[in-house]
Amino acid sequence: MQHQNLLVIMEENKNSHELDAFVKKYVKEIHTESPSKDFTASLMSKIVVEHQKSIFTTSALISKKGWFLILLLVLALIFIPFESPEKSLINFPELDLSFFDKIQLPSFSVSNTVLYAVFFFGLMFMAQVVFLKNHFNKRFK
Amino acid sequence: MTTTNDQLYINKVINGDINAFAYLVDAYKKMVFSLAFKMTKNRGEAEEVCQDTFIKAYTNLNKFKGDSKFSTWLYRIAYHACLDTIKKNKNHNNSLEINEITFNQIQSVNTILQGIERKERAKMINDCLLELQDEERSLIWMFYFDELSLKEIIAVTEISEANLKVKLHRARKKLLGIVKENAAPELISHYGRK
Repeated sequence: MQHQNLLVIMEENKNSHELDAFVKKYVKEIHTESPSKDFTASLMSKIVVEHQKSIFTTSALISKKGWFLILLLVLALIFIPFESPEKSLINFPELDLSFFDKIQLPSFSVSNTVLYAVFFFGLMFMAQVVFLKNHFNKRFK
Repeated sequence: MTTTNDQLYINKVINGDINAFAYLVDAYKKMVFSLAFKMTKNRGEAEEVCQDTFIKAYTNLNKFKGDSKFSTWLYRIAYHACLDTIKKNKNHNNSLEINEITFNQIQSVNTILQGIERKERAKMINDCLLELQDEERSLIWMFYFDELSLKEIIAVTEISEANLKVKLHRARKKLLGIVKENAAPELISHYGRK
């Protein structure tokens, strides 16, 4: 029985080799087609347009590094005065925040389930943005 | 088509010499166009895909890191551009049932094909290839005509190795089936002529 199976497998292997050779032989004979004669010329004119576009591409006014520095600065401005009240860098004017107590918000409660749902929706949404961006960039690597 | 030459021109383009890109276009337009023509089955569409491919390649050239051959990188862009076009236009495909093949079948089709003039035979195989499904046709083209290695095809198509082998095998079988179908009337007319 096993011998029989082995024979079948050998036969299949032989056939697939034969088929491989068959396809290789005949597909290679096919003539390739060429694009139209003015292809390179018309493409290059588009490339020139593309090149000019790239010269005028906008870049962010504040780079990622810049934003990071700004964030650090803001955090420093907020926290340093609390750390050392005597040597405060900037004297913030005293703000009267008592008006918050006067605002009467209608009381409503949200169940934990909804909170979790919203939280995870947000999380997944952010994850997708990163994932899709990578996915499309990968094509050009 | 040496890789070092390619890299030389790629560097020139990145450094702002647009005309150097024409060298790359001339070197690879036939390869890209043939793939596009095989996949879209339409000259106009193929030309459009071919243009898009080179424009995409140009705008993303600085992302080409040289880990793979430039041709493979370009092939990948072209392949995905073709898929996008096919998806947009959705030509429907006729599918053929695959039967078990035997050694004798291959031999008999081979004999028939040998009797046909080379030019005619090439046209016939081409027509048969066009009857395959888009993906099968493109795989056969990459593997047998452009002689990409399995590894390169995986890089281009993002199909797993096991899956690719199965698909290639199925495509080969189908192609044989189609050739067999198309060759039978050819055989009759061939003998008729004698």
